[in-house]
Amino acid sequence: MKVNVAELSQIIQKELEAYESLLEVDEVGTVLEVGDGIARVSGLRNAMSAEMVEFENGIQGIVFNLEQETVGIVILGDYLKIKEGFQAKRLKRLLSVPVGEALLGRIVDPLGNPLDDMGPVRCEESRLVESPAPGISARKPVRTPLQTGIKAIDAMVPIGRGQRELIIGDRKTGKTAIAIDTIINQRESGVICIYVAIGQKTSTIAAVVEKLKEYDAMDYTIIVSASASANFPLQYIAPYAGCAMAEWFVNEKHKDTLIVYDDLSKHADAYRQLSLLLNRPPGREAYPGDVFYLHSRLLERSAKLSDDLGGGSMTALPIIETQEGEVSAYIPTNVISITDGQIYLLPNLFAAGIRPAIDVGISVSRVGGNAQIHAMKQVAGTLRLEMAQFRELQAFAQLGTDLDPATQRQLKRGMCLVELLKQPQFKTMKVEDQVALIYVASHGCCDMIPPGMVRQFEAEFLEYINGVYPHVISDIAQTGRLNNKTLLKEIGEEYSRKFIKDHNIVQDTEEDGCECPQKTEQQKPHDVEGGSR
Amino acid sequence: MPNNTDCQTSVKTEHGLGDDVFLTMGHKKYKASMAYAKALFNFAVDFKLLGPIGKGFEEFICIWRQSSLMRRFIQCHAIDRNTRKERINSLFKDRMHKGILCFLGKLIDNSHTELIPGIYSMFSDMADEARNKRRVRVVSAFPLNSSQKSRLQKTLEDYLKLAVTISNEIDPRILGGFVCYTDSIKIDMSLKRDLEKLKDRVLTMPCGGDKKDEG
Ligand SMILES: Nc1ncnc2c1ncn2[C@@H]1O[C@H](COP(=O)(O)OP(=O)(O)O)[C@@H](O)[C@H]1O
Ligand SMILES: [Mg+2]
Repeated sequence: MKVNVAELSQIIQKELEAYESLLEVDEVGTVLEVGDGIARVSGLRNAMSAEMVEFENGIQGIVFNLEQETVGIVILGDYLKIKEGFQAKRLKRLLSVPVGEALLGRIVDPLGNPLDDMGPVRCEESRLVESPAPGISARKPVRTPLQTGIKAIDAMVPIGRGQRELIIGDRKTGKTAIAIDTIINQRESGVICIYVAIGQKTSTIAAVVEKLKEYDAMDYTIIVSASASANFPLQYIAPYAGCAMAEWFVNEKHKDTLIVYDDLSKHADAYRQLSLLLNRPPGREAYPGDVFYLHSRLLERSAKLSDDLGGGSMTALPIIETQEGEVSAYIPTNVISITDGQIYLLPNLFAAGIRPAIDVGISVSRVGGNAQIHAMKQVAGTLRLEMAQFRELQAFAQLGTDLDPATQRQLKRGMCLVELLKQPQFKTMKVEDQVALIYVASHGCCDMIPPGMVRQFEAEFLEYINGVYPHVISDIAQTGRLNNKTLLKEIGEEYSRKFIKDHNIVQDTEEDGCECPQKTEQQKPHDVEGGSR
Repeated sequence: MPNNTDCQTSVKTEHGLGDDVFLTMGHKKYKASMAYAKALFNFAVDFKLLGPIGKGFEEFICIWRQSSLMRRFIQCHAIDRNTRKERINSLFKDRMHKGILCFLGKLIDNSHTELIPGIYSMFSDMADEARNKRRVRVVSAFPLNSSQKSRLQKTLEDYLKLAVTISNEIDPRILGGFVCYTDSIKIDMSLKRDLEKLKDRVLTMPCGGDKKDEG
């Protein structure tokens, strides 16, 4: 763009004429001490908690501690550029972030500054980072499902829109993987997704972004990143900033949103760091006394709004990383008590190849059951029962005692179901497919198939039923009900026979359940070990 | 001789009025100075000695500012504490109130003599407030003449509804106009700020090309 000098000077001349010097009264204080993202400022006698201040060089901060003579300020920027003796000015407003559709597809820091190379984020509105959660009358019960596309979750620990479901587990157990799969599965559901990365390695965040791009999920996703190299104040405000961005879509656009906080353990650590630097008294595990409030006020902002308010919803998937499976540590117990359910991921299941490594026995969802589609509710009931019986029987089976045929059948089915609930990453499944598959499997159609081939059966069966009986699947999708159970069972049995024939599977049991005891006895303990490790 | 001038300049920056005193003061020193100043102020108020103690402290500070020897003597750790206290006592016994001498003795005992200028500035702010007075630091690019000063004083008194004393400082960086500081309030009427504002406005204005498109 060419700049015309004459024109420019004309503009300046006009501006000069229009310029009126107004009296400007500011409240300023002096920086006494600065370090580790914290500044102590004298003066600012009327400053209020959580108010913004601006330093001489334009860097901003938040009033965090009000002390007798000074205020403690967390610096949102490079604290090395702030020197002792600098002036800090009260801005008389609270921290807000830009919000709007322009954020979709972008990677931003917790203040809304772009971290990708797509130029400035052009948002017209902004929203307070900390705002009160919707009240009782503003809410509605959670009734609509949020499909994660992961069989084990949608069937056994369903998540509803507006729910808060904790994902908890040790490091490298697939916590992030579940969240990412869930985001990828929202492509057709119109749910806006926000992924807040707190204290993660930059390379991990980059990998997540890469995957989301690969599966076309960035169009409806915002990434708020406060990586491990970002300073602690930014890590501390990141989840609130992400939440504010989601709230805009909920309140102004009446949309359904999903927000992932990955992870809140690191968030609590950042908060602990800030608090200790400001000499707040440490409590249990050196966290300050108000660390419960830190997460409760964040997660309470997730809600399903009433119809009067547009009926939008914010579903939260907070993630907590445990140390050596210790779920009774301070932060895990806090967040467990705030959320509406947990998904436990176990490292030994992960190592045994059961992935996602969800422990379906202790994972719960306290509200999601109401939100399952009717068909899924029907098939999931049987599935839960079968799995519970299987876990009980497994203990017996390991003793190597003689088992009666009915027990053996149940064990076999349990193993098939365990196989069936395995699912690779980035392979989300439609709910109607899930219903058909789980129905068929829990009605004994893959009892004859060796556990090692269940995954193959799954893939081929879905292809078969979608190709030959598409109306059965579309009926489930449209009505949300399982109207023709007998037909579905027949299809399952028919395909099971075909599969066995096609793959020359040798039967160790007769179809009617009459068995050859020697053969099974030798095989059972071995198989069970494989499945339960 | 060069030693002396060195000392003078450093003292000048260290003992400038108002907030400048705190520039190089860490958080702990600030808190300690505040505690001392509050204690002295409360003592003076309780015993109705605000006048004499304030005067004595002011006198002492004058001497402290002028005499580098005095500063060095009071802060010299090589000399025994009691000797220092006795010398100060005998020197100022007749000139100032006993309360302020005791206070100085306490500072020497606690090795906190380096806080004296900060304590003075905080104490005098408190004393001013008690007398419904306010000291205003006016930074200007050029020295204010007396008529400017009295006009400014009048305006500030109307604005703050308090009696005002003005202390003038020169800072050519503000280019013109003046900036007032008082009790964490900053009133910026400098040319520098005006120019910066103007710059921001011109820079954020839609540029020529865009304008033509609109028109
Ligand atoms: N369902 C799955 N199937 C296969 N591999 C998985 C699955 N879920 C996660 N993984 C792999 O496990 C590793 C750890 O997963 P990640 O989600 O990063 O763990 P966390 O977030 O718990 O540290 C990754 O390499 C990921 O590819
Ligand atoms: Mg992770």
